[in-house]
Amino acid sequence: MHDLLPVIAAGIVSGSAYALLALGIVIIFRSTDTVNFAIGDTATLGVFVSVTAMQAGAPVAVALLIAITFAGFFGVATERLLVRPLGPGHKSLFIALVVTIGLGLLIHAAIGAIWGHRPITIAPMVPGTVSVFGVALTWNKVIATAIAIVAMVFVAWFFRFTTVGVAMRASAEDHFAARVVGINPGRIAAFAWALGCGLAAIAAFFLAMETSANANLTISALFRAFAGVFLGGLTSMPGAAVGGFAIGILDNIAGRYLSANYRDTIVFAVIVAVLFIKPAGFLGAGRKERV
Amino acid sequence: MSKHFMYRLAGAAVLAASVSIASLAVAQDAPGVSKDEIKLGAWSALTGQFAVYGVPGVAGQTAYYGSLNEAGGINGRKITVITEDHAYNPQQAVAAARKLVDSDQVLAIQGSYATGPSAATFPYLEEQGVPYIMPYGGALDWYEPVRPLIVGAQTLLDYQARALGRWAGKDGFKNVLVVHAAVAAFEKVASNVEPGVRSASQDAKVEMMPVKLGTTDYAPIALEIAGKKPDAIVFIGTIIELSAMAKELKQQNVQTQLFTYGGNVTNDLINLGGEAVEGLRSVSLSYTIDSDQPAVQEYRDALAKFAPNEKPDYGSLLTYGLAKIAAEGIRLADEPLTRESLVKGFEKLKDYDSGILGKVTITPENHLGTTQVLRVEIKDGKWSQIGEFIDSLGEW
Amino acid sequence: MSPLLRRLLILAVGIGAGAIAGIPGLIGGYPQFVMASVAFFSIVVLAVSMVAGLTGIWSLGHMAFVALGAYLAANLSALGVPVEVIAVSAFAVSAAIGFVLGLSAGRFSVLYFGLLTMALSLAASEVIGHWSDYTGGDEGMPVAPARIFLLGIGSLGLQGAVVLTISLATFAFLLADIVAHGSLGRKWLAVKSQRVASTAIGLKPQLENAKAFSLSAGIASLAGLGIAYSISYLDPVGFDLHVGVQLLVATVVGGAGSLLGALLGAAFIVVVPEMARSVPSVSMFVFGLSTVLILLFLRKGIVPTVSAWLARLLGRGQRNSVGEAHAFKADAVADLVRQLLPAATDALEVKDLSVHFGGVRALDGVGLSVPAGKAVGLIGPNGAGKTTLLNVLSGFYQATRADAVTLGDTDLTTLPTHGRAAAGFGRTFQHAELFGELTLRDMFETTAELGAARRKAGGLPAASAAEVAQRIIDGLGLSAYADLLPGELPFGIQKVADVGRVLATGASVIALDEPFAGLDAAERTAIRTILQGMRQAGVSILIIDHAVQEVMDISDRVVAFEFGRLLVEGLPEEVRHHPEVLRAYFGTSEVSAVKKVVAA
Repeated sequence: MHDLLPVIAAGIVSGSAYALLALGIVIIFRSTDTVNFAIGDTATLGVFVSVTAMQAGAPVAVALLIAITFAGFFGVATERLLVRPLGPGHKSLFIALVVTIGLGLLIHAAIGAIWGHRPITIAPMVPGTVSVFGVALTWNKVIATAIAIVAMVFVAWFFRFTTVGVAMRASAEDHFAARVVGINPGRIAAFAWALGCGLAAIAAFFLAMETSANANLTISALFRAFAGVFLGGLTSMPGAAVGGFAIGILDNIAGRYLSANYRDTIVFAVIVAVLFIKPAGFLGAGRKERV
Repeated sequence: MSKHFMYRLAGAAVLAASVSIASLAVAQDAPGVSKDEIKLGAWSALTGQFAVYGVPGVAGQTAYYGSLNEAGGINGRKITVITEDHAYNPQQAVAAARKLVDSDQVLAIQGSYATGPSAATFPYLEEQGVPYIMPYGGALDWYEPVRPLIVGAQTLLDYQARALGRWAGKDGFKNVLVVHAAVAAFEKVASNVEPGVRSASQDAKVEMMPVKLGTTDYAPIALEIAGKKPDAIVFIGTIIELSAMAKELKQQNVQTQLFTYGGNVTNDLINLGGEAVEGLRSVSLSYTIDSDQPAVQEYRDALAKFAPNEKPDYGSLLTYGLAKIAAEGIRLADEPLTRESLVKGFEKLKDYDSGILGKVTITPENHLGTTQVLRVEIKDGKWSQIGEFIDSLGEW
Repeated sequence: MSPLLRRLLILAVGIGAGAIAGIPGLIGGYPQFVMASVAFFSIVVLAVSMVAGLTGIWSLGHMAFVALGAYLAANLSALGVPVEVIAVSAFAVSAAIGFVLGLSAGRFSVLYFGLLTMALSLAASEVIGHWSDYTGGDEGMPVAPARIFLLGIGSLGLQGAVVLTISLATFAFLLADIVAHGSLGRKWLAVKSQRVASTAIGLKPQLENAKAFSLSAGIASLAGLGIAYSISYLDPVGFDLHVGVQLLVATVVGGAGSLLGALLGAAFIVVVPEMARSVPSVSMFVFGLSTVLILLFLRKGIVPTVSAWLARLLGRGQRNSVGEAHAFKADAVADLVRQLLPAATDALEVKDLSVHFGGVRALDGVGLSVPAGKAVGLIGPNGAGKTTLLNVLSGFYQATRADAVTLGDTDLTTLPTHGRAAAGFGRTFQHAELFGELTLRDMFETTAELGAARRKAGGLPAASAAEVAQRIIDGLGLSAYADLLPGELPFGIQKVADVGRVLATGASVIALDEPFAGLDAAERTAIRTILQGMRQAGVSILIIDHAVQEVMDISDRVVAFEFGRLLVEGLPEEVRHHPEVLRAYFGTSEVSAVKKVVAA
C-alpha cells in the first residue's frame, strides 16, 4: 500500500474526464429530462473538427476552443431539431433517449467516413512529466485536470450567481413555474445543451491528447461517467462531479490492488450496491413521481 | 387483400422455381467460375471499432487482385472479389456468408477478416462445401485437426508468442512478465510465451499478468509493474493498450525490454507510442513495408494505384501477400476449376515464396502453410528487420 | 379484432413463414437466414416490448437472458439433450432470475432500472468472457445440431434450425398475446397506470412487476435457442450491450407493447443493414438516420402511430357523446350490492390516532367508529385531516401513534394495503384514479377476480369475474361506456366507475373520498342512489365530503374534524347545528352559516 497516494493521484487525473462527462450528462438531464447518449460522440466530433483545425495550423488552445464551441452548437442543434419536437414529459423519455442513440450512430459513422478509422495522434499541449506524490504524470494530464476543475468551478459559479444559471436551476425544479415567472424554457434548454456538450468536449479533447483521436475515444470514459452519475445521482451536479472523480479513484485502486482484470466488474458492483442502498444516488433527490 | 396477395405469392414461387432451374442449368460449371471470371467472396469489419484492421486488410487484397487482373488474371480468368461488412458481429458475418454463397454464388471465401465472426460461419460453409482460403486471422483449432475446407498461411499468434519467448530467453532475460488482455483468445496466445522462454533458458522466471481488455488508464498497472521489476515484458493485447502501457512505463521510469506479437507490427503503434515504443521488439509475418524486396516494391506500387487512400502498412502488406498465395493456389488447381479441385490446388504448394511472407507449404495433412516469422525492432521510429525469416516452432 | 382471430393470424403467419423457409428449394440460404434473424430478434424484442408496454419497465439487459438460453442450448445439445428439455430449462432459469430482478423494479424510477439492467448486460458479458469452460470465452463455441424429441429427429440441419426458430417465435407471440390480453396482462396494466390505487383493490405491485419481468425473461431466453441453432456458433459479441441498445431501438421504433410492432422492430434492425449491403459502409448511416426520422415523425413508434391514423381515418376516433341521466333505483342497486358485497359483520374502530409529517400534526389523537352496517360521515374544512385519516386506513400512510385501527379483531396497521383489501376494506378516490389503460369492463373483471375469495367467504352466490363485471356495468348504467378507456369518459362517469370498482372487490367496509366532488346534479343523484343501495345492503360506509348536506342525508352519525382534531361527533342533526361546527366552517355569524350549510 506504499503507493496508495500515487494511485489516488492518478485516479483523480483520470477521474477529471469522467467528472466532466458526468456533469454534462446531468446538466442536460436536469434541463430537458433527456439522457443524451450522443454526448460522447458529439464531443468526439468536436475533437475531430479541432484536429482538422490543428492540421491547418491552429494552435492547441484555439483548437480546444473550437472543439468546445463546435460541440456546444451541435448540442443546441440536437436539442432544437431532434429532442424538442418530441414534446415534453415522461412519455417521451425513452423515445428521446433512443433518438440520441440513433444520432450517436450517425455521428460515429460520419467520423469514420470523413476522417477514416485510423487513430490520429495529437501533440501534447506541454511535453514532459511532473512528479506528484511519487507518481510521474504528464503535464498534459495535470493541465487537463486543472482545466477540468476550473470548468467545474465555473459551472458552480454560473449556477449560483448568474441570472441565467439561477433560472436554469429553477427551471429544473419546475418547468411550469419557470415559465410563469417569465423564464424562456427554450433558451434555458439551449444553454444547458451547449454547456453539457461543451464540457464533454473538454474531456474528449484531453483524452485524445493522451492517446489519439479516434471514433471510439469516449466509449470507455462515458461508461465510467455513467457510473459516476449513478453514484452521485442523476439530478445532482455536485454529485456528478464527485461521482466522476470517485469512479476514477475507485477504478485505479481496484486496478492496482484487487485485479487489473476485474476492475470494470468491481466498479460496477460498487455502483449496483450503491443503487440498492440509496436508489437516488448519494446526492440526488428522489424525483417526484405522481402518486 | 388475400386474393391479390395469393397471386403475388404464386408469382414469387414461380420466380424462385425458375431461378433455381436456371442455376441448375449453369451448374455444369462450379459456382463462381466462368470462362473469363472467378468470383470470390470476402468479409471484413468495414465499420465499427475493428474497421481499423478490416479496412487496410481489404485494401491489400484490392491492390493485389487489381494488379493481377491488369496483368491478365489467372489462366485468362479475371478475379472478382465481393466484400461484405460484418462490423465484427457474428450474426452479420453469417448473413454475409449466406449471401455470398447463396445469392452471389462465389467459388470460395478468401482473405476474410477476424477470427470469431468467421468461426460463426463455418457450420454453414461446411454444410455447403465452400472452401475458406487464406484467411486474415485464425486460431489453432482451425488447423489442428485439419479441416478439409480451410487453408491458410498466417503464422498463428500462438506460434508468434512462442518465438517471442524464445527470443527473450536467448537474449538472457531472467525475469519475464507477460502482460496480456484477460480474454481467452489472448490468454491462450500468452500461455505460449513461457514454453518459448524455457526452450532457450531453463532458469528464467516467467510471470503472467492479466489486464482487462479495453483498459486505457494504465497508471495503476504501470505502478504494479514497477514493483515487479521485470527485465522484459511481453505484451499480448491491442496497440492502443500497448502504447498506453509503454507511455505510462516510460513516465514512471521503468526500464525494461518490451516485446509484442506480430499483430501489433504496424505504423500506428509508432504513431501512438512515439518515443515510448522505441526499441520495442516483435515478430513480423512479412518483410518491413519499406523493404527493398522486389515483391514489396510491387506492393507499394499496386497499393498506390488501386487503393490510393491507404498508406503502406503491415495489415495491407499481409493481406496482399495472402492474396498472392491464394492466386498461386488457384493457378495450381486442376481444370475444371471446382471447389474440390481448388483445395487440391493449394495442397500442391511447396516452398512457395511470395517474396512477402514466409515460405508456404501445404499438404493434405497440414493446411497451415507457414510457421515462419521475421524478427523486427523499432529503431529511429521505424520498423527494422533483424536477420531473415525463422521458424517460430524451431530451435533457431 | 377478436382474440381468436388474432391468434389464428399469428399461427397462420408462423406456419406460412415456416413453410416458406422450410420447403426445400423454395428460397435460398440467405433469405432463410434473414428470416431466422428476424424471428430470433422478434422474440427478444417482443419480450422487451411486452414488459415495457404492460408494466412500464424498460430493460437494456435482455441480451443476458438471450445469452443464457443460447449457451444453455450449446452446452446441453453437446450432451444430446433434446430441444424441448433445453427450451423448458432455459425458460425456467431465465424466468427465475427475471423474477428476482423484477421484484426490485419498484424500488427504482424507470430510468434507473433501465440503467441497472444495463449493468446486468455488462455482468453477463463478463461472465461469458471469464467462464470459458462453458462459453468458449471470447473465442466462442460451436453448437451441436438440435435434436427434437417429439419428431424423433436425430439432428436438425441448418434449414431445420430456421424452421425451429420461426416456431419458437410463433410460440412466443402466441404466449405473449394470451398473457397480455388475459387476466395477468390486465393486472399489470392496472399496476402500471395506478400503482397506488391498484394496491387498494388487493394487487401487489412488486409481485406483479416480478411476474411480468419473469415471463419476459423466459421468452427472451427462447431467442437464445434460435440464435444458437440457426447460427450453430456462439460469439459473445452477439450478446453484448450494443445489441441490447439495438433492442431498445427496435422496441421504440416498432411501438412498445405492440405485437406487430415487435415484429416490425426486429425486421428493422435486421433488414435495414442487410438492404444497405449493396452500398458499402452506408448501413450505419441508414440505421441511425432512419431511427431518428421514424421517431421524429411517428413519435409513438410505427404501429401505434399508424393504427391511430387508421382509427381516425375510419372514424373510430369519434365517440358518441353520452350524457344520459343515470336512471336506476336504490332498490335495484341494493340488490346488486347484495349479490356482490358481503354484509358487514365487524365494526371499524379508530382510537387515539396521530399522524405527524415532520413538525406538522396532520392528525392529533382522533378517533371514530363505524359500526357494522352503518354509515358514518366525516366532515371538516380543508386541512382538517380527513384524507389523511383515509390514507392511514388504506395503508398509504403510517400512523405516528394509534391505540387502535381495527376492523373487528383485525389490526389493520399490521397489514399492507393489499392485505386490507383482502380483509374487506375497500375505498374510492377523490379523483377516481381509474386504471388508464384498461377499459371499464377489464377493470371490473380484474378487480372481480381479486374479490372472488371474499365473495366466497361471505357466502355470496358464485359468479365468474366476467359475470360480476357485467352486473356492475348493467346495474350502474355503464353499458354505453363499458369498452372505453377512462380517459375517454366524463368525470362523473369515472366517479361512478370508481364506485363500481369497489363493488367488485367484495369489500364489507367502504370508505369514499369525496364521492360528490366535481359532479353535477344528475351525477350526484346517481352517486346518492348507489350509496343508499349500499346502506340497504348492510355494507358499512365511511363517507368523506365537503358536500355537507349530502353527507348528512346519508349518514347515521357524523364526525367533524378541525386542524387534525376531533371537533364533534353525533347524530347528523346535532352536528349540523353544533356551534363549533358552524364556527369552524363559517366563522361566527350563525344565521348566515346555517343558511350556507343548508344550501350546501
